[in-house]
Amino acid sequence: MATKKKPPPPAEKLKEGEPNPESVVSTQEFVSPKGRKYTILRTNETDETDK
Amino acid sequence: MANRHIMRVALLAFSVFFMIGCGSSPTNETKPLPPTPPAVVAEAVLAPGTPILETKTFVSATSQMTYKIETVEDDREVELRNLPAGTRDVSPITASAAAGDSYMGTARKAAKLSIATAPTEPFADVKDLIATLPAHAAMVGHVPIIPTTAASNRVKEEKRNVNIKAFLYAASREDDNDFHLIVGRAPGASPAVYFTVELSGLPPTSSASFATLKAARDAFKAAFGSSLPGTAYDFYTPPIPVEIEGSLFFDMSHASGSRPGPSSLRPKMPVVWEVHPITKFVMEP
Repeated sequence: MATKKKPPPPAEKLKEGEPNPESVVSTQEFVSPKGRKYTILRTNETDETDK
Repeated sequence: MANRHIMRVALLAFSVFFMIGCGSSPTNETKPLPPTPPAVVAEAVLAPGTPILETKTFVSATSQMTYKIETVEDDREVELRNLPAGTRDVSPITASAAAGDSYMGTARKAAKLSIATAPTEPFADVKDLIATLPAHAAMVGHVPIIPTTAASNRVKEEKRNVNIKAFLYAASREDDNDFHLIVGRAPGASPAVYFTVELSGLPPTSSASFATLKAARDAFKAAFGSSLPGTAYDFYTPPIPVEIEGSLFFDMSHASGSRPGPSSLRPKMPVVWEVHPITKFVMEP
């Protein structure tokens, strides 16, 4: 009986609300004025310039 | 796209201008142009043999002298282009290009810098706000037409103020000095939906909206401190809870063709409606 070969998982799955991993150029920790910690993912994605 | 942008910024910052009197000048004396000091972002010396990318001429309206403007490439752009793609950290250049707070754009400037006179409608979910917005086709075919000229002011459908409890997913700073904020529903909410809200660059201090827009902008800048976004998008993980207040605006400039927003969120941004300008920004309300 032939067995189906599973496709390989994607190297990096896109997480909801996050950027394409390829666009991230650096990361930075950010602590809000209320003391909560976040990570800033800096990307190279820009918009077309507004007029 | 980012590299193209960098190159343009770099060229603006490092364009070398020469004054060469031609014909009408009594002498061919070379002297520096007198730019306004705050407008000078950098100086560079033209080395002999530097390739000229572009040459223009113009005639001074006051002295009638003819000048030649020669634009050369910024050395840093050449170095940047030669770096491997993954190591091109462009933030120092792009951040300096958008250092001011004054609004520098033109499209629908009157609407973007004005605040609607209307009661504030509260929304606890971005999706609920979007459900109240007039259809895209109705706005594109609006009667009267919505022009994209600087004088284009709010139309009836845009004369609404809203207050939204949302989450900040991404932000960038545009060349017109607007901060583009992409907000959305609570993490995990299904379906995910994102929406643009903008902190406008500031109008003249004499404008009726100046104080309100400046207060909102100052609140945003104070909240992020030294971590403000540059001209490329920053993403926040986890998304930051925010409270946004402002006037509704239909982005006629992007009603057709490519839409703004980062590529990973754009497919879930169903409208080109925005809150623009933001009149109140609260981080972690």
